[in-house]
Amino acid sequence: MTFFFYLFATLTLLMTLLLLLSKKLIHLAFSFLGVLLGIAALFVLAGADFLAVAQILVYAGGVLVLIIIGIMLTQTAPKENGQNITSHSNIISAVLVLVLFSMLVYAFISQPFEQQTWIQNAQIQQKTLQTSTLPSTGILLMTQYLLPFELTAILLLVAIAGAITLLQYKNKSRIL
Amino acid sequence: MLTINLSHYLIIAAALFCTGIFLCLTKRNTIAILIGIELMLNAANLNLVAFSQYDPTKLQGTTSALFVMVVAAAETAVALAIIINTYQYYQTIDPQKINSLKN
Repeated sequence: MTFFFYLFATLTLLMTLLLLLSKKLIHLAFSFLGVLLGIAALFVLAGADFLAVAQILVYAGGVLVLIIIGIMLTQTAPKENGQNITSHSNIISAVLVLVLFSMLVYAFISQPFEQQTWIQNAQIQQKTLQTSTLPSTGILLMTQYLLPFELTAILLLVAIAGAITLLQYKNKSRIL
Repeated sequence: MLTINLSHYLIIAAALFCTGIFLCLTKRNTIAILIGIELMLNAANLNLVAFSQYDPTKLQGTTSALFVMVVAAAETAVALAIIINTYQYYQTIDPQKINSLKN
């Protein structure tokens, strides 16, 4: 269990490093696929099996394909793709991001999350995840979270209609 | 099931979040910025799931992460439609060059 966690954590972080170092946009997209699969594995190890499958279906199967199609439709001269702005502002952004990361890591290490009462209660009562979360997720979505679930349907419909409408008038007139 | 320290999940999520911010700040390409935003949303999902494993009856974190995922998928579809439209008008997706509103 612990071995697999560190294996997949290392995989995810290596893919993140690859993502940062990739110059071409298509390499960026494929290392993003590696990061997504690593996160799905971490979801399984955290006991969210349904969410892991949804992650692979929605992100690796849907969002990434959309992004790759978007890359193919917007290819320009090779020198423009995925280039960084300037080395000067790159260094400033890197320093800012590193400061944010070290602040976050310091906060997570110094904060004793295991001493929170509700986490301690869960550990004492052993009421932790032992079986699949799929039945309870389905029941929750149909009872307690029914309103957001239905609103999600409307949101997806609006997103589909919006995306189609935005791409419809490309030959008639310039909408921008 | 609970042998892994909770802060390890949080540190991995922080690394992913900072990578997303770095991509958004430095890349000169709208699709790379979109990938950065997706990475930040994924990091938030990882945090929610990591806390949700101590909450097996209510599963608040897992359910919230599910809704975040749906919204992220809808956002990507609309964002790519906008990007392709922008490309047809400006012949570039460099956010530095899309500046018709300037001056």
